[in-house]
Amino acid sequence: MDRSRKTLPEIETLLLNQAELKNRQDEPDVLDTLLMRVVQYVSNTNSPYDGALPHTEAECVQKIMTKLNLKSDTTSGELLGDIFFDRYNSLIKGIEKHGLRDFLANLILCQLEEDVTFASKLNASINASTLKNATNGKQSNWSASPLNISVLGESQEERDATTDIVQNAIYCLMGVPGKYLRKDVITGRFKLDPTNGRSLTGLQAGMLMRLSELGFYHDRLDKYSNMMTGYTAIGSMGQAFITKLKKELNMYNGQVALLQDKMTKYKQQLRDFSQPEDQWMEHRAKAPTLLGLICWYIKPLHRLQYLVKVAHACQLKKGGELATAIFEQLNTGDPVIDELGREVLIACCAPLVRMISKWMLEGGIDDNYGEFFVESLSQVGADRLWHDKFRLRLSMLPKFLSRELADKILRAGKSINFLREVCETHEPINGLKELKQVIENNIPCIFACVPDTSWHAAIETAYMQASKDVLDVMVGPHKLLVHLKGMRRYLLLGQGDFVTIFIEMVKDELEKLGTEVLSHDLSVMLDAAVRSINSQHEDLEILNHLDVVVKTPYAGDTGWDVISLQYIVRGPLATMLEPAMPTYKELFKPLWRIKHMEFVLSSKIWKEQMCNAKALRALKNEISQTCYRLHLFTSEIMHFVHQMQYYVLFEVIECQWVELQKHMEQATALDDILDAHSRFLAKISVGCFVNSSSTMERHLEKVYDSIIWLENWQCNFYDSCYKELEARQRMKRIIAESEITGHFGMTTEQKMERDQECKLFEQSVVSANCVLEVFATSYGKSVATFLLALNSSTDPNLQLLGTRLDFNEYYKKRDTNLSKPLTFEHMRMSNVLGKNNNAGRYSLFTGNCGNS
Amino acid sequence: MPSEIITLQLGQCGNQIGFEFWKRLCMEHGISPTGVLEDFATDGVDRKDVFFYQADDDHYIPRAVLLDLEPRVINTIMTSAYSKLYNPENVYLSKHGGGAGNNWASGYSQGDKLQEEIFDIIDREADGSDSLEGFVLCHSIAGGTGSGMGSFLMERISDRYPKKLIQTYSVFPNQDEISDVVVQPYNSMLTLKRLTTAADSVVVLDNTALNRIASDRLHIQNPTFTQINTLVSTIMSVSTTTLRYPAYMNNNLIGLTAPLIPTPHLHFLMTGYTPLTSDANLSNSPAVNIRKTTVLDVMRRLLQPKNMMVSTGPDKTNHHCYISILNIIQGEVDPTQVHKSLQRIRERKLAQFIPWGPTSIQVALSRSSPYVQSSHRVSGLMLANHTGISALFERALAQYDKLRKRGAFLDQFRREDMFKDDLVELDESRETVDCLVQEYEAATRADYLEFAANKRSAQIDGAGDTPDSEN
Repeated sequence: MDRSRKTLPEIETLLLNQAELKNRQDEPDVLDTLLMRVVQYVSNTNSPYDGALPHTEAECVQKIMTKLNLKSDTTSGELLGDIFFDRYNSLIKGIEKHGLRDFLANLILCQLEEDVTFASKLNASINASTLKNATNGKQSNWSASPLNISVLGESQEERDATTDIVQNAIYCLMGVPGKYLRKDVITGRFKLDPTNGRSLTGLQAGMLMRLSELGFYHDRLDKYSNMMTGYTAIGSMGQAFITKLKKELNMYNGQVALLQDKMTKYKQQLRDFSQPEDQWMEHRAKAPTLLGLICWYIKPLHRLQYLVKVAHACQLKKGGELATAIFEQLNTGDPVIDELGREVLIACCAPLVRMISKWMLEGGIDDNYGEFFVESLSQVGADRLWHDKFRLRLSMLPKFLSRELADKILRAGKSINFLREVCETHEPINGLKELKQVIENNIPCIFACVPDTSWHAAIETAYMQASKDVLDVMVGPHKLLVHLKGMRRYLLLGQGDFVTIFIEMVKDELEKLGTEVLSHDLSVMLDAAVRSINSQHEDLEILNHLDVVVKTPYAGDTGWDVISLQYIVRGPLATMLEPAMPTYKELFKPLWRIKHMEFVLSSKIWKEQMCNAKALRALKNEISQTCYRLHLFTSEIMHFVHQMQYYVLFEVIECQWVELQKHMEQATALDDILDAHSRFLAKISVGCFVNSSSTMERHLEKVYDSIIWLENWQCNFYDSCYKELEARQRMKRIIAESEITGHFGMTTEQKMERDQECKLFEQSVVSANCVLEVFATSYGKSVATFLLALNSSTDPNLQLLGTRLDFNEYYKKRDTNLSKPLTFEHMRMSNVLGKNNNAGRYSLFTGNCGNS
Repeated sequence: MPSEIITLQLGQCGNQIGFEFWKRLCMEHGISPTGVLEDFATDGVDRKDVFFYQADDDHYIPRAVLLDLEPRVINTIMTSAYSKLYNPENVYLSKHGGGAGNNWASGYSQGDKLQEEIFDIIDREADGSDSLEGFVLCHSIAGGTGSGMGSFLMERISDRYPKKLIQTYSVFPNQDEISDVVVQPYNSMLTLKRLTTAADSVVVLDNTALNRIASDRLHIQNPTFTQINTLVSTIMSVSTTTLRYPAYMNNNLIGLTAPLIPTPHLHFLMTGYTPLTSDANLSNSPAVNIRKTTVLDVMRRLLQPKNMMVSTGPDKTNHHCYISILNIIQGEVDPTQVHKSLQRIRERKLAQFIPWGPTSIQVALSRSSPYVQSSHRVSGLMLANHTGISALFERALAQYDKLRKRGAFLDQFRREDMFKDDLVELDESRETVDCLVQEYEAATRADYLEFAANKRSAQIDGAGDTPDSEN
């Protein structure tokens, strides 16, 4: 028969292949093909070799395995024999007849042993058998086939094809391309193999394509869960996420493995078909079908799809960002998927919660990847620990944690950290264990919709506890409130008598040139001043913090300009208050300046006037007019300075201080106090015209300059008065002496000289008067401008200051412009104001002089 | 180093009000009558050292000098519970103990004779203080010792301590009753001159007004000296409260007076106090307190003439005005109320101010003693420089002129050296006071500045006129 003729060349090719096998490295593959072909051949032969075979099938397989094992090199882990055995087993399944199988095994063995004699014998026998069967072969062929059909219910070809398709489908579930499905190189999606795919029905192709989607997701997820690919989330939270993904992937793989197992069993069953035993028939496995797979695939598809979506959103994200990304994928509406999402988020948040608990309860940050939403700036030292060292890393703040909560967490940890680092107290906070337990074991609560869970309560408790601890430490042993009070009293001049006494004590130094002021003298005097005002313990302690500093003088600076007070805070207090110190320094300047002015006005100008009024009564006629001008001008300035001082010290500082005290009493956390304190400083800064409105400052400076000018003017004026007085008294003395001695020594010349001097004096008084007049006028103008600025201000406080400074409407009556800012029309036209200058309106004193 | 103040008490009246003043201070500072700090007062935040100094055994001694020419009042003080309070070296009684006989000239000349001994005391006290700020003089202007010796001391002190302030609490005689001191107008006039020229600030305690307030406001039919003196001591203690309980401003005498006194002569200050209660009043109606005291209420009441401790009489022309006002408010005050009250007063024009310069109501919030319980939440004292005070001087002038025209009771004066030759001193005093009245009058007008010039030209024009003939 033509069929049996074909056999011999087949075997020859096999032998040739066998020869190749020796040389090649990729033996398993060759072995594979060899086996395949042998099996194909044998199964097609249909007629077993009826001669006596040298070995049974089992013996043959054993021999082949030992032979192959010996051949295989030890470096590659797998033994060739084992591979062979596996392949053999899987291939042999299709062959039912034992005779055939024995024959096949012998054939392979002899080919391996290159036993030519046996091979020829074998060949001969085959040939013989074919010849023998030539007549009845057809019949035997027919006798076998009905049996096959009855088992599978279909033709063997069809059956094989279907199994193959299903196997392919299972492969592709694992992302392995097979006979029918190929991977698209670019998209990674599966597509039908162009050649093999043609053999599929439309239905099969559709189902395959559907199933292939799962394979695609499997691939993607595999990629996202592999750190090496670079598409994954990062950081410890990312790792937690990836672990979770891997777990999910493993579960999926497990399911696929079960399918594969079913498949394998089914194939086995097909092979064992040759032994039709009744009980076995009943237990036989059903064929895995594509339809069955489709039924199964929906659930894993949803899961994988969701996970891929999440993982895709989480690419290259870390920490809070990652948690936010996952959180945003929640609430799909599908409870199963939601549950999955929650699981992922919980897994992912576990490290975060651990970080929160460590931070809040121990004050430590264990954050190698920079993913915690609290950030510690390593370059900031302990001295700025409270204000600057820690801050929120907003990008890392998960969306489900509110900003307030984050702030609380930040503060709680900061407090603990502060206690540990700066205050060096190491007591654990109350109920540490319980809190830790609650915080670390209630991860799902962290993203609860309403923040009222036990977790949030624990956070709140920890926050309150930490805040209270710090507050207690600061207010208690470190006396924060006492020091705030101290600064208010000494730096902000709340203790009026202190500054008065201090000025009184150091007034000699203050008058000196800046370069001649020595600070060590001053600190002794400061000491004395503080001691003299009160002997309370707290004040004495404050004394240790109060210091006088001498700044580097600029040319022309006096002691007033270079001497300033400073409050030194150390240790934990410094951490708290250091940022406020520059503000205090800024604030001290205008306050000191206004005290300076008050001192000059009262203790020098006014006092001089009072004393000299008595002493210079003899010159009353000549100087009284100028004196009155001087007195009135002084009282005008004095009014301004006192009202200004009252405004600054009382309306601004005292009122704000009362407010601050209220806050300090109610404070539950240190930050409450510090916030209130910085608000206090900010408001005072505005009220004292520090850095806020340069025009106001300039106006004030003008007024202050007038005071200094007036002091000098007055000094010169009285000097000349005293000179004149002395000259007159000398004259009188001379006359009196000459009367006693009897001769009238007063020459006309002397008299003339005296009269001349007298005239000169009178003239000098008149000119001084004029200078004063001009100056007073310009002063009045500058005050009016200041008032105008105040009245035009939108700040009601400043408007009120304006009314105070002009309580009896003295300036207003003189200058109609001043009433304008309060009218509606002005409000409307306020931008025109700048052009509307009031220079010409001043008839202040010059006009009055004209009347006389 | 506080700004110490030395108190000089002169004469019967001066010692009486001084005694009340120290009693009050001791009570407020928690100092026992023997000068020992009470246990409850050991952690006070007040400043006792302005008015007291501490002896070696830590007990507090007032910086007070008690001077009198007759022993009666001082003996009463020295036999009272407070006898151990004072430094006995500071109590000076004239050797002969005859008093000044209500004669200014006698007081003045005795002061002259005793000045060495007196200045021994004063110098010692002055040297004992680190930075003496000034002297406070308590006296009456009508008697002999307080007015005469007081005048002498004022002049001497202003020579000897030209840089120190002299503040006086001067009691003006009651005009409503006929005085048994017939030369009272002369005494007043002579003292007023020194008050004008030598003192830096004078707190006028007008007996007329005090009596009137006691009877009208406190409903006491015949007020005793003690009751009146309680009023006085209240005024004295509250007016020094910013010195003793320092706050942010007005913490020394100069800070207190400088803004009140614009020109050297206009330094006569009126006071007002509200709410007024007396012991009798309290015992009559202990539970009823009808008044609700707020800052506005207190400040408004302070501006009412009936609460003034100076009887200015009805201001018919209604041209008098405030030169300056300082309100010292004590009690539970919400700082923000102060401003509102000021606004209200301004809107309602409750006070009339001078037209020649800017001025306003200054407010000093002061703590009060924790040891003295007040039945009122808020109380206030006003120190005001008001031109209406000239009415007081006009009245004194009128009374003086009545006597002087007749030349009555001048003999006692002629007996003293000062008036042996002529009575120029009296006329000069009158002129000074008259000038003062004119100046107050001028201060009500916008052209006050021209006062000096006008005065000068007037003097040049009327150089020959005697002051008497002007009236």
